[in-house]
Amino acid sequence: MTEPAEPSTVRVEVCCGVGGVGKTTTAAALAVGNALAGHRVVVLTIDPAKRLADALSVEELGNEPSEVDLSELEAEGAGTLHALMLDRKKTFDDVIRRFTPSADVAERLLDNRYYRAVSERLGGSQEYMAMEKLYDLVHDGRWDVVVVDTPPTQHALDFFKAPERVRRVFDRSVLGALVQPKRGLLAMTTRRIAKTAQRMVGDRVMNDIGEFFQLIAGLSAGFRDRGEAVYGLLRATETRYYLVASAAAPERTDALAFLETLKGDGMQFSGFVVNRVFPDPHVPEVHIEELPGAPEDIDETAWHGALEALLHLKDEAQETVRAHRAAIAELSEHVPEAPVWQVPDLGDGVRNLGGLAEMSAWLPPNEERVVV
Amino acid sequence: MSLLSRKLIVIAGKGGVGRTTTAIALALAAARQGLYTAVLELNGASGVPELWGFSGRDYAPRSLAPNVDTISMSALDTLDDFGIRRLKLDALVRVLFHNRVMDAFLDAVPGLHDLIQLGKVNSLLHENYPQDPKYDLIVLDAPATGHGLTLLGAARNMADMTRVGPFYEEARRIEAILADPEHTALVIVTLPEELPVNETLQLAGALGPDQDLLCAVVVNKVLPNPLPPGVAWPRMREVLAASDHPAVPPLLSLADRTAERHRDQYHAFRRLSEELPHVIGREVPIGRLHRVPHVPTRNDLAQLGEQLDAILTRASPDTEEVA
Repeated sequence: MTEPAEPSTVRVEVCCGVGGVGKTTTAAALAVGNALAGHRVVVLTIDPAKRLADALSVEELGNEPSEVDLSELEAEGAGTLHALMLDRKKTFDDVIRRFTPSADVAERLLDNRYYRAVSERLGGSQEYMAMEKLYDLVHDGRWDVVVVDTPPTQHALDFFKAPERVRRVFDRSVLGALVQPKRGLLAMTTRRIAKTAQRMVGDRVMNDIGEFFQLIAGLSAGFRDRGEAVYGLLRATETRYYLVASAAAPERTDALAFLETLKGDGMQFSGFVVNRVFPDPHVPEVHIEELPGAPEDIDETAWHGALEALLHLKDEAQETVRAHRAAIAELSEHVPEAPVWQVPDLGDGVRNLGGLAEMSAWLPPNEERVVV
Repeated sequence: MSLLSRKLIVIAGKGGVGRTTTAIALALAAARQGLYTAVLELNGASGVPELWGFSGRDYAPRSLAPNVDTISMSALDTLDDFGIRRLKLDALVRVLFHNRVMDAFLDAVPGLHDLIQLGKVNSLLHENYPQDPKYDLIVLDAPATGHGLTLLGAARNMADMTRVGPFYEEARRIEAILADPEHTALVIVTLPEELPVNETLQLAGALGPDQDLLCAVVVNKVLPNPLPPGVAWPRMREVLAASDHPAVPPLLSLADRTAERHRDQYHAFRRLSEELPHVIGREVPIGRLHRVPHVPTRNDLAQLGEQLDAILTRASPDTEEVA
């Protein structure tokens, strides 16, 4: 029987980055690598492609962690791996149930049209709920490493910024004043805004919002404390961030903004993960006339064309290698001390648990190495 | 009905597949056919100017090429317009819309950001305000979230939620143009790989009422067959392997890798072209854009535009052999 993990000793690894750079796969591979190193690991994934869910051999990856069978990897001294997929609506509903004083109020809130729109569609609710779920996993006690994937966004920073929009909805001091004005206290401008708002969205929406504020008035102090606890967790020394990028399009400007914010907010940057790095084919200098001539069964002109095409392939490969190296150098220029975990292009992607294990060899906790 | 006879083309697809590249290429192709075209980004995105080598983003139209502009709008950019044109708030706009409480309110209405930006798109295409350029076509590089499709549902959701008022009316106006396949086309961008193709098929299946809008699927970053016709790789490999030049072994393994990649690509492409008609219930043209070995330059983008132009003007769907 292993000891439950103290929240303060649980290591959190967050994979950030813009959409389409392989964040979810990276998070899964990081989790596999940590489990192989003997840790008790859980990975929170966001909208994994079906094949990745299959690779984690979880039939229907749910909102609660389920165990991934690592036995096929035949690794000695392996720890354990659990995986789950964020369901933002369910997570949000759980949070509401937990912090509402009575089941009746909770049900009415969950039924409120405005609440439903906010929890399902308001920009930032997915990021907010990813953080909520992360907090739960850290305090669960079953794990000593929690790996987190983040929603696909335009900017890496959105993970931190987006939840603000949802938090403001629950901040009654601003919006509440609009829909539940205390008589006489309303300043002229606010009164005018309330009128305009009502004109814009109509009575029904204003009533829904009004009811929403009535209902959340009963949310316990725990709700706000929780927000602060999550804020603290994101800045804890045991919480580390990776910036995942693709070698072909490293989004340098975005990366710089991300790094600045981490630094300013005292968050721990663990390094870059650069996916799909093209390995150098290391072809020595060669001229076309040094290669074999056309065999009897192939037309001479066609053969010459084919050799030229082959050498062109080499030139293109070398150009790609140069471009990737330059991109990586540019990325790390601003934090030369940060490690760069380069993952070679693994062809048509990661297909199964074995593929994730193979990818994990290029990631922490292994030593950083360079694709050659 | 051809793709370019629509007024609005929405480019959807997952992050990293090349939506922005495709959007620019398509706009360049449209301009070659004489259409005054804008490539438009929402939520302050700046993918187009970054690819084109402009600094930062700008709400004011910037010219990429003759007849092609780029615009990056944000909800904040379009808010004043909305107040003036739809709410007739003229003099009050500044006082009302730049206030903390109003800001919090507008931020708290789900889908509102999308709605007012789409309202501006609608206005650019159909309302001819003297200060606005008069575009024949707008190519919209949809946001990455939910493959860019949450955008298509934004107006419907808003209409459902409000039922009355200016937002409701605006939503109905937008819904009318977004749901009309003669007005709006949807183009999904994908990659010639198993995973992106699977996701594209899922996405196409989940389109629901928007299925009629799907006009084309563009497969981006296609590696053309490097070998000229008449030479088969296994035979060529055999002949080359007999050489003792030190460059030959790494050349062979590079070519093997490319051939393998090419095969994977072929299978992914075939799966897409076989299954898409079943998912959609009709033939959908599938176009191909060739891979460039680096971040595309202006020149590459122009060439990709020519490729698209060729595909679009061809009467039959793209049937070029891959393998």
